[in-house]
Amino acid sequence: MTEQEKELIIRAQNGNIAAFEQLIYNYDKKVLALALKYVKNEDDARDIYQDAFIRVFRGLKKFQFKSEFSTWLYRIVTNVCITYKSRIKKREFVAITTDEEQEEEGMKTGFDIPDGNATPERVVTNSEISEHINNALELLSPRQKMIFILKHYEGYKLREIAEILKCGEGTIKKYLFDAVRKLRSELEELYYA
Amino acid sequence: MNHIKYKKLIDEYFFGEIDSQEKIVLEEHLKVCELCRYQFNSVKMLKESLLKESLPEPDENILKEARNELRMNLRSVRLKKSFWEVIREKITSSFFITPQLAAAAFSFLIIGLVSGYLIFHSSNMVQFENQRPQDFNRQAMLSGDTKISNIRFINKNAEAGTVEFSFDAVKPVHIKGKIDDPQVQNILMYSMLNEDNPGTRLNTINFINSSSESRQDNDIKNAILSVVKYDNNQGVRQEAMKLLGKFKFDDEIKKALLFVLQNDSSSGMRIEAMNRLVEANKTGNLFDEEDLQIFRQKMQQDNNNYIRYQAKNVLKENI
Repeated sequence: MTEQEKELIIRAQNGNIAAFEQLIYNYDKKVLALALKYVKNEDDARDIYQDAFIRVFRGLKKFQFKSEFSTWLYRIVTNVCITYKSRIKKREFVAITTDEEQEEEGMKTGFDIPDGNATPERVVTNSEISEHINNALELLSPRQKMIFILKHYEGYKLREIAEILKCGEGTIKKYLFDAVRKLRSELEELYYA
Repeated sequence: MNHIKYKKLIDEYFFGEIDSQEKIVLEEHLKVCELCRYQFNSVKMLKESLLKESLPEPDENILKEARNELRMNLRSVRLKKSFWEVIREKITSSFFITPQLAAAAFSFLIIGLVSGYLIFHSSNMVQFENQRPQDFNRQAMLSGDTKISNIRFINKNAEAGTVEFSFDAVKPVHIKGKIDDPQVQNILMYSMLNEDNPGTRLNTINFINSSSESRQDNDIKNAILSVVKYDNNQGVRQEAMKLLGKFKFDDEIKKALLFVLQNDSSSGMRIEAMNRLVEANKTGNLFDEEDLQIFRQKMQQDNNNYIRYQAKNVLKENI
């Protein structure tokens, strides 16, 4: 954390909105992009942006410089994303199977290999792939999806994700690799259908 | 053969979390194991597919609008919070005086006494100034009407006679300039979005209204759109809506008007938005299916007769 950032945090902790804005403008584009990747809808992404930064503003006084500001910020943002998605799911009544059931399903299908083929042969279009990836991402639990996005699209290390989500690296690995199995299973269906 | 071990290595390879030793082990194994080679190719295929898939990125306008909306929200949060803070501080100061707080208060008292002494005894200023950090312009701060507030102690132990603290120094600035001057407009725009006093926000909108240059400025337009949509004072929203009428109708304005039509609790604002949309429609601006859906909803559900009637007319014209 730079001295300038530390100073901005202290001023923002005193309720200085201009300092708070200056502080978060270093991160807010990435936050909006992450939210958009997560919910794939501009209105929802903007809701997440507002909710997350209001929480950051309210909670900033409790920030004690024990971690990087960015880690603390992303912890709030990822929590808002994960709970936001859950809220929508609950409202729409779309979740028929539980996350555990979905995970079990993924584990079963992840290693069903067609006989004799070492590489996929069917030619598929980009839009088909895109649709399948989107569908597959929606099959992941909110936490799995967030971990996958942070790792694959945002390029965070497992250690950093563990720090953001405040859990062990092993847990993150498990979530991530289960997510990969599910995605692979979905795409195998596409290539071998 | 332990395929589970290699399955884990393949996953780690996929996410760039494999070390060089493990990579060699995996590569050797892939040469001899068709099953794991298949797994590897399958993961590789997934990785390539995901790389082709670009997830959406927000554009600058969305970011600007989100920032403006946040500014409004922060203002209301700050207003709400200040009340609780006052209560909390009063309770805290009455019942819980910790040693740290006492030390901070004592340091504060000392700073106050020293500052007061220096302000009223200018002959001693040089001596104090020599002990200050080089980058602190004390004279500039103490001259004029500068107000110091929010003093916050970072180092409350005050070891070795030093103390570290931050504060806000507010100095009133008097500006006289052309209404079309970009610097003046930036300040007006900030005031329109941030001022706590609705009367000041209203005045700012009127000043912006009298500038012809501002009608070509995209930032000002975005700020006005935010005020129209999110300002918590109806009078301010109405004035902003009038000002918006002077901008050339475009897709952003259409979206903002539809937002007002859908969300504003004031029927006056909704009627004004509806009139603008009807007018734009007459001059050749068309509505897409998503827009028409909003009109359908308004025709059925709005509690204002005029809005229901106009929504019906729009639908007739566009279907």
